[in-house]
Amino acid sequence: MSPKKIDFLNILIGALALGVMFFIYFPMAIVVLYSFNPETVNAFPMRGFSLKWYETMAQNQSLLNSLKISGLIGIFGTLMALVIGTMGALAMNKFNFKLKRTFERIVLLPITLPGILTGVAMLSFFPLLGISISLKAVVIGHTTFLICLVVTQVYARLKRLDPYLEEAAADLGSTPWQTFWRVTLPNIKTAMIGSALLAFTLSLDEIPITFFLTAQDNTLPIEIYAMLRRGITPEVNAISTLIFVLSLVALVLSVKYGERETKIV
Amino acid sequence: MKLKPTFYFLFMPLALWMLVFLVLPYGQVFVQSFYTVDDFGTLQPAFSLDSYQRFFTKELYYKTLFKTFGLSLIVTAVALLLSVPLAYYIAFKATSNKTLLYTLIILPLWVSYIVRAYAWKTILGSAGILNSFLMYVGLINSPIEVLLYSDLSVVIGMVHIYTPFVLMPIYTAFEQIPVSLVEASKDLGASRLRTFLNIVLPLSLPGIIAGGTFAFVLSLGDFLAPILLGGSNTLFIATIFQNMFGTSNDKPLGSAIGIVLLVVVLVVLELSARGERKYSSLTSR
Amino acid sequence: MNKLFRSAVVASLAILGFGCSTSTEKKTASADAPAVTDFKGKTLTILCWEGYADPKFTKAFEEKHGCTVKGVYFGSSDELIAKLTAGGGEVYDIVTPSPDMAQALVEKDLVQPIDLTKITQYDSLAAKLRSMQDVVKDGKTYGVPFTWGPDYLVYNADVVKNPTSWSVLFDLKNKGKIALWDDISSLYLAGILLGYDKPDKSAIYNMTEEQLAAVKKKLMDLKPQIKKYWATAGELDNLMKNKEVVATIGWPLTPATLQKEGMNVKGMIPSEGATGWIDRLMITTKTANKDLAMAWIEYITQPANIAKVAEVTNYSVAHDGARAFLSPELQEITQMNNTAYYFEKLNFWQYVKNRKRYNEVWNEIKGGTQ
Repeated sequence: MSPKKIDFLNILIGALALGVMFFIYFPMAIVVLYSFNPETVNAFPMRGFSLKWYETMAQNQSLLNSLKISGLIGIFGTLMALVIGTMGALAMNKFNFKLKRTFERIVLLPITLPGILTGVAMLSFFPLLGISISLKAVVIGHTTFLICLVVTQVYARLKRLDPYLEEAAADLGSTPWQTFWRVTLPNIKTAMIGSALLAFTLSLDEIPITFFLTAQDNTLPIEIYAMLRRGITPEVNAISTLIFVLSLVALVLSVKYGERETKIV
Repeated sequence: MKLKPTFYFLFMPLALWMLVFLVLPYGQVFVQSFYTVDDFGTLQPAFSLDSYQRFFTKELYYKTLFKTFGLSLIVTAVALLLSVPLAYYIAFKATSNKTLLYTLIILPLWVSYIVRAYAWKTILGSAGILNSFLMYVGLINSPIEVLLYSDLSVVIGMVHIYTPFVLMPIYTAFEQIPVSLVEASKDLGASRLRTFLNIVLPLSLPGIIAGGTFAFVLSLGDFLAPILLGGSNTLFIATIFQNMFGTSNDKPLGSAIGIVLLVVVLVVLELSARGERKYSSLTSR
Repeated sequence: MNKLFRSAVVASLAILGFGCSTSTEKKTASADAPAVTDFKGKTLTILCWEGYADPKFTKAFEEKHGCTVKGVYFGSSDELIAKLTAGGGEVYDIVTPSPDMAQALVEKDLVQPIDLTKITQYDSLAAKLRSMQDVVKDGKTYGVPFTWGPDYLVYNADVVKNPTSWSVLFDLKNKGKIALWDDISSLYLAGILLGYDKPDKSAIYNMTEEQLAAVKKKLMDLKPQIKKYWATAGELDNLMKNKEVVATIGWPLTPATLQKEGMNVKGMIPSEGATGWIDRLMITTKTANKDLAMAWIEYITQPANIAKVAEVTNYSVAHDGARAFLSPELQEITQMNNTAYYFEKLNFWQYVKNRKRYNEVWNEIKGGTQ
């Protein structure tokens, strides 16, 4: 094989890779660029530069309100998922019980099954529990799929922990509570922070479950969806750019804290 | 085996939560799929196979399922074709800035779904960015109409949205292949193509299967991309499913469609899990 | 494990019972609640067609009562039902159905009778609209007339010149530039085009299987012309604004909105005829804010306020006194200056008994299948 041909192959692979990168990033670049478009219709070339859609966005009360709602739901859902999920992961790590494998799979269902199925299932059943469609229902729905993120990540970390560590602590006379507080928790802390960040971001972006469980209050993505269906709204570009920047910050934080082998979804 | 109170304390919240808010809701969908409905859309408890019968005898439903299957397969195939070269490049070719590149490929996963779908709407429209660009540079005289509001735009949007999900596991699989193995193959005189086909590809199959499954299942269950980007001919099974609850008010039929979809997805997941196990056992042998 | 499972079931049943009891408690409490005039901090939620909760007329009400008015939009009568019955909650206070649903809401007890003596302007509302019996049950009236208008031809007048007939939808010149409403009313339109509205106007709301088959064929023939089935007026505005679509069936709201955007979009009733609708204000049975809902109906039926509704939507409004607040152009556009004529011309929606079948046929058309 001649060295020339190798170069050619390398270039080809490089070019393909670059092309795919372009395909992935081009639409987002367009959104960011056209958030500064002074006109209503997004066409080429862009005539001028303006911050007017950011101003429109800042005055859109229902959009700002939805941002607040999304934030609150994300925080509540994440906290509840963190508590319930971590407790469950500890139990699953420490004890063996019948149907453990089955249970492991059930916990994974909300992320593996299409969200639309879970959303409709909840819509059909929650009213029977006396939970009418509302933000309360949305928080419960979010918590349900966020739990499995926390469980899987914390459980994975616990499995890799040295089981003798806790025994050693017990031998040295510490109570189970002390053992948990001083030995286990510090070791799973980063997994908890990582999964919480991931959970919060996923909650912010969740659509299918929220779509079915929300009544008159919209979360941010649902509000954007409603805006897209409701009229002419280039301010979607502006809010998207903002989300993009926030996602970037969240990602950097999560790469810093998260498990390296963390799989999203 | 005797379980301690600690276990119940730790495990009960999770178990109860999953039972009440996940298992029972799915159970309700199953039960509801046998109900009937009056003209107004009110559920009537019954045991009727009518909804399933309608699903399997009316072209509208089973054909749409097949069509959705086909389009999801296309999305999966294209996403795989796009992912392999990029993942390969980052895993084997990139010498510097590997972390940056890795971050770059997972970043899109963090960008709102709705924003990505919306972006394609702005790009592909009649008066959109692509058409106005092509007209500006003089390549075309009138806008290309089939770009937006067609099956094509739905597929493009879905490929874009789901490619990062495919990239991740494939990249991880490539990363785990020992470079020495690849070197050895080359030292033995195998061409790069043969090395790729005989060494790299089989070793990364679990990742490819996992990624493909993501893309396929996510496309099967997507109802927003068809609404936002689809045209008069676009109908996905998830759209009909949503319709039955959102406008058509036929919850039993909707539930039956949901159960069929659920079974399909579970079968796909099971097959894929088996495939992954089979090929990862190959590699560890 | 058995024990575990049993306790789980017990716990879930407990939650179930608990949930039910609280929700019934709430309901009785709201029914017995004494009339309150202070609405501070309350939210009035209106489930309505687009344009019926515009800040142009909600703001003054909000300021007057210190409450919030929230509009949740539905894009079709079927979506209304889905939203109103989903989740079984006391989410919505007011609903604005069209005549294809109004009667059903009354029959199903989803709305409650309205004390007309408390609506000061009621007797000044158009007599023709008040006399309709579909929202009257056991001598009680369940709906207050609000607006009415046509489902007519909406077109981009820069592209489609002086249309007179629905045939522009089938014109090959407009191929791929047509839109239809994603609603079973498309079947009514096809029914009119096939002449099923003669001699009996109401026949298009009760078509036979053969007629439905012909309707389906007609709409399948139209399909290659169509770019998108729009689901909300906002979506249609977008389609026309971005020049994806040049002609469609639509409501006066669309030309009204787009003309403000500087577009030459117009609407007209084609020679074959058009369907029309009358929207009523109704109060939901489960509302927790009945007094606030009554206050809203009282407020919005005042001539000056209902005129603002006409301004925003370009629909005809039920109070003739609104004309005093409308410019001559607007009176022309809203047809307020010639109500009797247009009222005769439109084929007003009726309740479709076989709605399920209509929906299925419509889905089949969308899916392009048998």
